[in-house]
Amino acid sequence: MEPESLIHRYLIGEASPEEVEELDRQLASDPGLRKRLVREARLDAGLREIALERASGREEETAAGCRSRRAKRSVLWTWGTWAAAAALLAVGFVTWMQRPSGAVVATIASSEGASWESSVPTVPGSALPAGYLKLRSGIATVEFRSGARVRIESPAHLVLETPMRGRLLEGAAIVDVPDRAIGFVLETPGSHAVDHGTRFAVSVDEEARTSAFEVLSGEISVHHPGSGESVRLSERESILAQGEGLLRGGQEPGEKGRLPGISTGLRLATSGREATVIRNGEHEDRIHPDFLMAKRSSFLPGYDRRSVFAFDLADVDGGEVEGVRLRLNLVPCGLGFAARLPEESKFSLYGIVGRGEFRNLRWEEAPQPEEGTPVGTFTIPRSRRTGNFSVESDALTRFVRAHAGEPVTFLLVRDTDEAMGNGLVHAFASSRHPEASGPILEIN
Amino acid sequence: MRLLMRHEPALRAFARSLLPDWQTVDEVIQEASIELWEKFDQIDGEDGFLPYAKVVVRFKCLSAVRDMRRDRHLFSEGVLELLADEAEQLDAAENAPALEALRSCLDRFSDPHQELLLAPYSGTGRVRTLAESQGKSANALYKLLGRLREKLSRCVESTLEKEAC
Repeated sequence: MEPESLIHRYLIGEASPEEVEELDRQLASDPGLRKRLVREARLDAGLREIALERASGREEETAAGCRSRRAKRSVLWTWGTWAAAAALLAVGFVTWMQRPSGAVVATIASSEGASWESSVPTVPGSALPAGYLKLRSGIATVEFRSGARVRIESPAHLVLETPMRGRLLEGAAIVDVPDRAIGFVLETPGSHAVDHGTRFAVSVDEEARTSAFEVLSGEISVHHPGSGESVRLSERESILAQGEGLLRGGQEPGEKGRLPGISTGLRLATSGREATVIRNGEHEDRIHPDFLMAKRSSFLPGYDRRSVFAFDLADVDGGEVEGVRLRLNLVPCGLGFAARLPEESKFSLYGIVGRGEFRNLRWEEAPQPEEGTPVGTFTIPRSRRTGNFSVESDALTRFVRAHAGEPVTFLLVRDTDEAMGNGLVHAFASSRHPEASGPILEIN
Repeated sequence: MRLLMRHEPALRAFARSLLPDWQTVDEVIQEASIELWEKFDQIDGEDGFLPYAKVVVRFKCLSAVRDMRRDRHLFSEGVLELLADEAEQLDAAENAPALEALRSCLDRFSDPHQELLLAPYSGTGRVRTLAESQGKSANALYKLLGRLREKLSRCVESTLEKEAC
């Protein structure tokens, strides 16, 4: 075989041991061939970069083509907890950062303690193309290219559309519009405000499906396409946009927001009856009592992980169970790269009757999905490293109702395979975790 | 951090010339990044960064190969040292034009051929899946892939030569 062909077979992982040996012999004696291999390795690196770029580009098109759906590609930047690990994660995203797609719509003027989930870069000073920004914590100011400045408070979800148009889907913002940006439009679900050179506050209550506008200085007009209503508001005036139309607000601003309802249900913890199992027992050093881990890899199946955790339903009266929710807290465990996962990972939860022995539990001895009842699924976008995820389903309620009074075990499995080896290991806090709470079963 | 980000593609290509697969390349770059991050203060200015980083990556690659040698067939240590010397000579300034040349050359291939050329980086077994969907043997598709890569490589080299004149 020609040495060039051998090099390519070697680089795509198809060379046989004999071929590797042959290539090694030729490389030892031929400096020209060594040069060749080094250049082909660079070509290989370039091809891989293009492959990753195209894969992420496709997602971007999907997001842009279907604006009502959540934009797919998302990157989490946590400046507050900027550590070496985050720095490494950033390295993987460098190609995306360097090539913002499309024209510049806005820049991030400043941020305080901001952590983001975003389809666009979130470093202060970044030039942002059209896309979405989700502020998970902190405060940030986004300056549209027209000069309009939107200061958002977490949690907030802002969509950048054009230099003269943005959409606030969730959260609160204060909008400052200089003369040159008069006519700037801020849309909220169900309504939009056109600014006539002013400063106004807006807050969107996603759950109640309302948007409140209050003019701080100057003038705006608020339109409600659903009812055809439009009003002009001047200084200190406010209005509430809701399903039916616009409702003039009083002059007393009062306190914004409302408290959550008080839960009257039962909350159960595992009391330490929990474990992670790893397929290849030799990798036991890759599990940790603080975490309940889940991973699936067809690249390195030995590192597959599942978790089990048990609750005692002794105090539960089956007849009174109306709804059940299982809460898990996602926490970073430091293993693997999120960029090597598909955009979303799906997890399945199985209910198993009884409580096994969890000490030194091995993969083969742990409950298998086939032994359990499927009680629900949930998905986690790869950009998410923390947060509360829950399963609330009829199947879960039925399972708890049927086994009230007994101990039950749940098996957590990640159904989604990684896209490349060394993908992120998902971890949920165990009851030992120092910061986040372990699995909680809420019974109402 | 900025330096690391700027030179990361060059370091990745450097490691690729010494390591048999992308997974090991990624692991090595990850380890090297941590070390570079920790020793950043000791590095002598911006110009000193890339040469120093290459030494770190070289060391990590050779040590990764030693660990892998037990169960895989790999290049001999002598050849790896020679390759590392060669890879250190490669002009980092040429990386950006090489990538541009690669992009424009790749665009000249038909869509199915582009898909095949990028298949080895789109998940394990992607070439085999393509073969199945086209009703061809995996072996035949690997042979075609080899020919396409050679053609692509010639195109990149001739583009770079033309630019150099």
